[in-house]
Amino acid sequence: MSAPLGFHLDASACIGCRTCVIACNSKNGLPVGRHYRRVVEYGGGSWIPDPEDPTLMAPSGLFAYCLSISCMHCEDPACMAACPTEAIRKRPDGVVLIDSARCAGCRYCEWACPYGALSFDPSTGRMTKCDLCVDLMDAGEEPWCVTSCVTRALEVGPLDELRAEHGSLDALAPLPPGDQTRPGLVITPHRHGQPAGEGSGRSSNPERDLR
Amino acid sequence: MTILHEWPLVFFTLTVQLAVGLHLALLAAMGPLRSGVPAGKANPWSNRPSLLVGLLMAVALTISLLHLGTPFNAVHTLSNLDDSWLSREILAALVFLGLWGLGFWLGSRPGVAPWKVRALAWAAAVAGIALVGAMARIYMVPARPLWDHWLTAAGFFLTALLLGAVGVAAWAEHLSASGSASPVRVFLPGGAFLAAGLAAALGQVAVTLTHPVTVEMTASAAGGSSLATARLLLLLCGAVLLVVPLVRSSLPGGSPLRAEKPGRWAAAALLFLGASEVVGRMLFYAAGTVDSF
Repeated sequence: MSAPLGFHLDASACIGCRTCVIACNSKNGLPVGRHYRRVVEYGGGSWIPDPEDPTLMAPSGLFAYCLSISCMHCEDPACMAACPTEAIRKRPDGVVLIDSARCAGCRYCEWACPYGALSFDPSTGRMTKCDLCVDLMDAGEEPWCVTSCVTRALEVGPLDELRAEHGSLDALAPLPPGDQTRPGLVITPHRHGQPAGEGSGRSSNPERDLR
Repeated sequence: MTILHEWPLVFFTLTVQLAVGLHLALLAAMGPLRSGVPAGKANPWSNRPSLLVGLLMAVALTISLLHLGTPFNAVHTLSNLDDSWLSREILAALVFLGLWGLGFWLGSRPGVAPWKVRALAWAAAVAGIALVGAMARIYMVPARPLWDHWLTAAGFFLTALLLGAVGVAAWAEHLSASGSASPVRVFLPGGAFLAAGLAAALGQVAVTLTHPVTVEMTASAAGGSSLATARLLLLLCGAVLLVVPLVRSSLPGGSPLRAEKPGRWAAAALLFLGASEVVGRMLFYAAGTVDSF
């Protein structure tokens, strides 16, 4: 594969089981509290007194869905622009990688990334993130998050092919709009999916709770 | 809310802004348009307050290394001047320190034409302003909406003005006293620096009250209100300590209430204002740990 690669996430199929998170943590030997991939639980709405029986509560606009996200391997990576040491590079196939030999661990990329994709490794003093399992991809295999997904909600492939098959939606609330960094992501929305930047709900598991 | 998560950056940014502010205030104090010094005298630019600028920058750059996970790779941090505001900030810091250092060294040598020392001081001032601006732009990224606001830059520049002006006000009496090692008459009266410091303090009150960091952290973070309140109270205490000598200095010469040592009031104000800046910066960095989703 030489065309820019990306992920397809079928949000209508994602059940939030976190098998992808566990698989990724296992492959990369990540300790508890550090993740390259995480599942965002997003929901909203409320309960109101049932008009027919005020002693009961009825749902009003309740919704919830999950998004499995990792590094988006953006076409215009904010992390790469922010990095002062040029430790972050983008391969011709679109994969964004960190050169640990140059990384000074300043964590500026962590601030710059709209998706919270970068993770500081205190044991090495350097930044780390999803590398799209390039070792497996280069051998013709797929990332563990994709192969482990029980509902086949995750897919990886050339972005142009993914867009031709699944459309061009690259963001869904609570993710930021795709025009910030042009993520290498195609999303099939959940039926209750809300447009990025216009969500009425909130995350029930902010990233800090996972640290 | 993580308060002390970024303590090296709290003190690095404040120390740099103090150094730049002090340099700008000293430039105003030393009379940038003066045309010469008495023969045989070292250039007045090379004096203890100016030396403090260099020392502060050296301390700041050392502190900044403590923020890095791999300090040895700091040698690569000038590699991305095209895109990275962090690379640009580091370059500006080195240029500021270098120009200050060259000017200080030349100024300490008798016989050096004063215009050369003044030119270097002005060039360092420009580099210092660029440094504070680059420092602010680092934080103004879309991924951190609480920081991505023009008030972040305003707050950084006001910090430099506040600490620098009040710092010089605290030293103004020594700068202009007869018998002092410095032959320089202070270009501007110490009251001007008290007034500038007071204006900056009031500006910081306005910035603190309206900055998205304050609005969000007081509404959603445990301890956010306490930090913001402490920040404002310390600012106001410092402002009062600047108002008193300003008022008393305006009294007639024979008045028993006329302030004789306004520098002491400025020094006391500097303690409160410095503490306020530390608290404010801690609140600023705590906001950086708030997730966007």
